Amino acid sequence: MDEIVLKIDGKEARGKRGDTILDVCKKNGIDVPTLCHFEGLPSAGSCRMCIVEIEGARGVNTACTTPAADGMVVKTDSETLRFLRKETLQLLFAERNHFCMYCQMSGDCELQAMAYRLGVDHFEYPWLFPKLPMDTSNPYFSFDQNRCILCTRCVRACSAMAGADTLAVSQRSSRTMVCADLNQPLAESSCTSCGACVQVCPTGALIEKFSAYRGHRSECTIVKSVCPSCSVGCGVDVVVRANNAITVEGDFASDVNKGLLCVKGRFQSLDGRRDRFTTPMVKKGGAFQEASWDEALSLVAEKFKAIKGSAGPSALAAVASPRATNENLYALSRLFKGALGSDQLYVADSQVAAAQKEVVAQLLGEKATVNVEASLDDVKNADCFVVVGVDPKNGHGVVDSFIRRMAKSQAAEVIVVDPEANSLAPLAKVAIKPKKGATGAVVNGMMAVVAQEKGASLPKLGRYDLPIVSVAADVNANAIVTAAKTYLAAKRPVIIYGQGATAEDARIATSLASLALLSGNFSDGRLRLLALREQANSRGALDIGFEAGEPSKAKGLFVLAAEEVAKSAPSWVDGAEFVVVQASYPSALTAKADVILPAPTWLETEGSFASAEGRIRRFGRAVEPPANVKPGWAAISELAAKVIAEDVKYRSVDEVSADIARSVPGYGGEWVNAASAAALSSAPIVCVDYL
Amino acid sequence: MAKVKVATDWLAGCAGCHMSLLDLDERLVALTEFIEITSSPVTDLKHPPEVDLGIIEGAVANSSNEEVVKEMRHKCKILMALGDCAVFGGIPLMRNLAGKDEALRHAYIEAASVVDGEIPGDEDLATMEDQVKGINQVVKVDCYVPGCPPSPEAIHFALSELLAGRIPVLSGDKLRFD
Repeated sequence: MDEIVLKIDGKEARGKRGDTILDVCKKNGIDVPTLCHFEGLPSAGSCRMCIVEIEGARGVNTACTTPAADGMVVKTDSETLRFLRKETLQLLFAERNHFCMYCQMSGDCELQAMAYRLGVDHFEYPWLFPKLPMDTSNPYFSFDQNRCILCTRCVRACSAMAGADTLAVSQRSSRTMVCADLNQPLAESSCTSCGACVQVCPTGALIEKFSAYRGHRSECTIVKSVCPSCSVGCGVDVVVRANNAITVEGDFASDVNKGLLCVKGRFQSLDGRRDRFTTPMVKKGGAFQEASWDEALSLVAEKFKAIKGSAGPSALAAVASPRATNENLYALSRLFKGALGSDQLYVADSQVAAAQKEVVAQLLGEKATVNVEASLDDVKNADCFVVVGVDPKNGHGVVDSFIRRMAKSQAAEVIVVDPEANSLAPLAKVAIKPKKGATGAVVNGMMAVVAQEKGASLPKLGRYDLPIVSVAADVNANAIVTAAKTYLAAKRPVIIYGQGATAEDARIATSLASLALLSGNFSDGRLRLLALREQANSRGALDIGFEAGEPSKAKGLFVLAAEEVAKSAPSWVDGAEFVVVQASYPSALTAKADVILPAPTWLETEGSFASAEGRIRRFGRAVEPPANVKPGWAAISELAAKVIAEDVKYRSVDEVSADIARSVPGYGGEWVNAASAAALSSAPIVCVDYL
Repeated sequence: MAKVKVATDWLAGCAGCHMSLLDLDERLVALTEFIEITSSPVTDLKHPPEVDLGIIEGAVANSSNEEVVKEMRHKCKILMALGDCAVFGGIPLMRNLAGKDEALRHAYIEAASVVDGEIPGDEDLATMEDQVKGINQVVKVDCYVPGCPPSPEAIHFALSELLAGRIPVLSGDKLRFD
């Protein structure tokens, strides 16, 4: 029988075999005080607040670590327990230096809250005043040992969430100290600045520098959103006070990342820049002057129509940031294709998304618009990772954490194929470093081994037997064999590839997909293959009809830059006669514009991204933009209306979303439609000739 | 019924807790129907007579503080520690991290604004304690109202409870360390 029944505080309480006493209490609405416990992390039993009395058991025991048993009789509240909790908490205060009077966590501190809860109004024990250091080396957060209660939430988060195992507990007794690696400053350690430790810390020991003292949580609202920093699409909680975003935290309720973030999303997504464009700007006589929306848009419409008239519609091009939302991109595509008659739509992105789109075309035909990729859940549960041409730590920190979490407990094996140095190599069972330009050959080499193991005949791979591949790639032949056999033997392997591979040759994506097909690593119409696209909406941009690349010889340009800041103006701006940039901040690009249209930042935008795994991630505004800044799609829609002299087509973002659902294949629901299992089963295995 | 006699004093503190007491505003006037404030920094009488309630703000940081708090303890039936400094040492407590000698040296000799500094040491001056302490480390305390400062509501509640014959138990908004 799976169910167990306990008697807690005189009442019957039901639970499940495997529950701790704390689990059972929570299920039955019994509020036991906890401090070091954190839902989602393994329990430690270090704070002693959750102590309970168990009939027949010696002393008191921590509910969070004690397994519940059928028939147990438990008391969670008694004079003894109240006394012990209160005394222990006073000792926690006395052990280090807890000065609430000026601490930025006061009011939001769980140690303080526990003191209030237990009615601690003074301290019986003299305080020890140990001299303890503060580590401020990390640019984003600091670690103040004076405020640490050794709850070890940070250590457990660094291990179970981030997979980094940077933080650990050193020394013993009153000298116990949480430290990074072998007691190094955080900035010199293996810390990736994911900030999971900062978010779970109950006191002011670990605090973010940017948001310190900027407001108590009681003065803020939390708005759920989606991180715009890469294509994973992590759920974030934006903490807003008086229309200012003061920090970004991981959303533990999001099943994409469950509270985990990376340095880009957590610490680098808020820049606090003040030099915003708050009104349209028009260049007159070499200098920018403020203009009304009507004036600016009328000018753009006039100039674009003139260029179309004299040089044809393909002289007009749109270039979008791959961070733009589906709605903004779709409105832009309608302006160009519909109102201006131009099909010159470009997205300033790498080739990863395009390579994966080509995979679908190769496997299922040119007209196929389905999603054939692995989901992030597949990544989280994999028992083998084949990482090709990408180091997730550099741009997709959360995926890096997913891999490391599984790899370090030996639950998964890692195979790396990367001509560049890859931070996963030390963890890998096999790390293959092919000569530059030979990644494709190595993949074919692996395919040849798998083909042989499976008794499949692939004559086109005849040139890719081990001696040839190992010479061409300057790689040990045994490594290729081990890699292929490990991959084949795995039950839930996932191939992850990125820009390092597609920049070398975009067809490597197709070869990897073929490897997955050949090995039978697909289910329900999804290959166990994931393209780590670089930006938040790299996928959506292509599906909406933009091409990854640059315009050439465009005379009229509309650049949807959003909040991206170009360090230098791209070369394709130079030849144009008339340039419109829709941007939030000044940059080298906006300096070359003829018209600047102010754009909302990601926090101020309502819309959706299509994430790498093919999920349509919707989000609302966390913050209101300045009064005169229109949403991207709205400004573009008004411009289109001026061009064709008709009414504005879109009056709300929902109307744009509805149009997308109708017209962009596969974008009708929460997930981009997956292929059918049958379609994949009959898909061809494509052999590309790299040598 | 005779009015309850109250005396207050402050030690190593900023007087903020007394300001919070005065922030009771008209409620303080209403309380004077039941209490008589004898010596206090506000009334500027230096030594307490025999009183029912003694209220101390500030930590024990030097020998003078110690004398004052001991005198108050001697003269009152119930002693209240008002504010973080009196309850556990508060802000002045932080010099315990450096130690008395380093604190004196830094303040009187090393600090950037000091010219030709000298650590004062006159026999008429109080001597610094090695460690700053909350007053309960020197005398027995009956009632604690922490806060920096405690809110007027917490102080009003504490006084009302004492007048009703109960040692106040602070909770909710009234119990705070900041």
